[in-house]
Amino acid sequence: MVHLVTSDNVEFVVEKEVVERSVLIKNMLEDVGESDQSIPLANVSSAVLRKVIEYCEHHRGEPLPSGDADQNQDETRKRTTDISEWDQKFITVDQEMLFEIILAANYLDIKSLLDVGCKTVANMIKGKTPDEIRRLFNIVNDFTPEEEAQIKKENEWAEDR
Amino acid sequence: MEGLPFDIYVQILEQLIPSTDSDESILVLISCLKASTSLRTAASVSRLWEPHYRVRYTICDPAKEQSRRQSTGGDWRLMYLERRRIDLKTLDILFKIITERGSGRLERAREVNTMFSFDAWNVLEIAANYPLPEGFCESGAPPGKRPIPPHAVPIRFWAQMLLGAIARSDAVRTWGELTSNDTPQALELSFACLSSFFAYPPMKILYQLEELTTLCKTYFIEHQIPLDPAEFTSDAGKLRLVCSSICDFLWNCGFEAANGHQFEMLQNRFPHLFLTTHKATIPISLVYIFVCIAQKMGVMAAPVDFPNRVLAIVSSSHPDVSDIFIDVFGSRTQAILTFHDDIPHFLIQTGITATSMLRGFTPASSISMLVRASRNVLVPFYNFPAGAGAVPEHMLHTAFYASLVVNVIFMNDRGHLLNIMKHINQFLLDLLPVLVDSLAPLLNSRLQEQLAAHCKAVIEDEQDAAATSHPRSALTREVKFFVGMVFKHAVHGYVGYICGWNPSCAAAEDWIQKMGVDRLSRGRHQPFYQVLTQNGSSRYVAEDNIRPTCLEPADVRRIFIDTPEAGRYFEDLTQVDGRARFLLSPELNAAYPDDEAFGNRWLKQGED
Repeated sequence: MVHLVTSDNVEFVVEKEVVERSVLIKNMLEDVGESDQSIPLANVSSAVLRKVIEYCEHHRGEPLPSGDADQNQDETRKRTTDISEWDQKFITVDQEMLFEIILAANYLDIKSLLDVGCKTVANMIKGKTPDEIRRLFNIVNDFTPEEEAQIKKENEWAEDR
Repeated sequence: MEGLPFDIYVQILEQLIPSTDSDESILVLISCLKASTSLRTAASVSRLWEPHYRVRYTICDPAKEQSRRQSTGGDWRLMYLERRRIDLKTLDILFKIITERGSGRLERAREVNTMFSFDAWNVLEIAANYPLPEGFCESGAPPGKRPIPPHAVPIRFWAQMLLGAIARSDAVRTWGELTSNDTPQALELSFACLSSFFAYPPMKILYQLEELTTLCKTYFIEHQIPLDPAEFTSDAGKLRLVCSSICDFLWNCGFEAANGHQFEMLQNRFPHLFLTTHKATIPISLVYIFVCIAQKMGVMAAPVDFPNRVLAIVSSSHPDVSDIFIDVFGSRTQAILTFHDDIPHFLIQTGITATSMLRGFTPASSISMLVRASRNVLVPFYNFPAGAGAVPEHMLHTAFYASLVVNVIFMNDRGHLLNIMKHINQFLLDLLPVLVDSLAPLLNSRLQEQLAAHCKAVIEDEQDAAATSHPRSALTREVKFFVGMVFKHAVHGYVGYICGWNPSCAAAEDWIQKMGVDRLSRGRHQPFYQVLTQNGSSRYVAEDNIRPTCLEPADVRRIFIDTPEAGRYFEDLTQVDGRARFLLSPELNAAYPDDEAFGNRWLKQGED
């Protein structure tokens, strides 16, 4: 069993097989060996880690993408839009949580979960205007008027004609 | 939370699926470029654009692609933007081709070909496949999700014409280069250009041959046949094994020797067809595939212009290994022919006994193979079955056109040039880009003059036609029917549609006599209509013989699929209570400015 401690100081005890879907943790365990010492995850809150562990539990035993994933495998991973029914349901969370899961998956290096998250966001931004995208990501338009003009010119071809 | 890290943005955008029939993914990237500095940086990552570029732009002009790669530093986004700009310009010009009448459209076609050539290919292909209006779709078919652009039908028609002009112009230039530089390697591309006449780009043929070669190598490994040229070229036995194994591989892939009626089929003379749907084919086609694969595998192979049946010859630079002759067509009986026994025997079969002929059996040039291929079309031309179930008429025209051009280029044959001019009205945009810009420079001065004179005449005719308009206000006699009307012939019973009219019979006197026009109740002094029948032939019909009718959805569809020229004139169909009329293309609308409104009234009021 592996002990994990979240940013809000909650300890999780998880089976090694489950937690090793995280390449980060897998590598750590390989480096330091298994011990009762808990692993601190300063970037992950307990609410998020609970979700991440739920995901890893469900996908337990599935083959992991190999470290030196060859290009082809990488390509097929990118090309498939389909998200499985379970994953779909799993990722139906509020937007804040979705982003948190993506960040956690990125930090913990769980490729398949990161993909599910990114695909979900990609689907969300389809058909959105720049302004709607800004609101979604909670960012502001920081272009200078000159930049704005330049960008408009560059993408004229895509304007509705 | 404020924004996401750069990497995550990139990973999100990586998930956008490239697609040819939707811009959804591209528009997301564009919106991100416009959203903020951080998103702009992420959406500008070159590799994000590569899959979208590759999916949309499968065909390019190789020289232009190379300079594009250089000027953009290989940035896929910039390359994508540049191609999209080319697409827009091409569509603009295409739109002008559709709306303008006269010789202007010939100049427009030349413009696209000169500026963009194959760079305009993919967008024209999209335009040539625009969705058809609902009335043309089979009932019960699910409605397409793509919106139907205005004038979709004429756009499809002219886009296809323009694709053909681009491919044929390129083919003629490629062939022209053979006269100064005909290497064994030139065979692959120059023969592929025969398919260009069918608006099939040669790159696709080359790609198919490349794929076959890859498969062939796998086949060799499975069957433990030597793959290393250093190994097999120095050993006569191994070289023979390699050659016969390529033949075995071809049969394994479904290629075979045409027999009986297959031998007479037009389709197995053209690479895009004999590589796919017509794999039972004639000797020259099989030898072509054999030679291309062999060359790619490091075998020095070439065709031999053998009487009666094209063979392949394989040579080795090794002094101890003599030339090998391969009968690809007869390879199921005997693939390898010996020079001293089999070849003379073969010759005797064809009625040649002089052994002096033997010296002539050296690798044949690409030119001689092209000329031979063209004769395979021209000689039995009138034997290709016509009519229902046979080769469509436009395919015959195209095959004939390709073969005539080969003969004009390499034989400088005047008769063939005159023949081309008879066919050119089937290829409405070819005159300037193909004949004047590409073919003329390859001809001797006498033929050049002849061609120039013909072209001038055609252009003048187009100008005259474009200057003519048929307003109804100028009529002194009532013309009861109108362009776009669907009718049934009162005597012959066929269904057709009107695409032009004259207030009285405008045909030549001998035609009037021959057709017995004066025996009609109103004789020659009644309106006459230019019509197209359901299967695409043109007729000239007296008003007395025209009865309004309507069409089944399947018929409508067939008209536009089987007789592409219908798309030049019409763009949609409306039917009310057993009466039907086609909506006019901009071109026809300009020629008959009052007929759209006239037809509409007729349809609504049910007047006769």
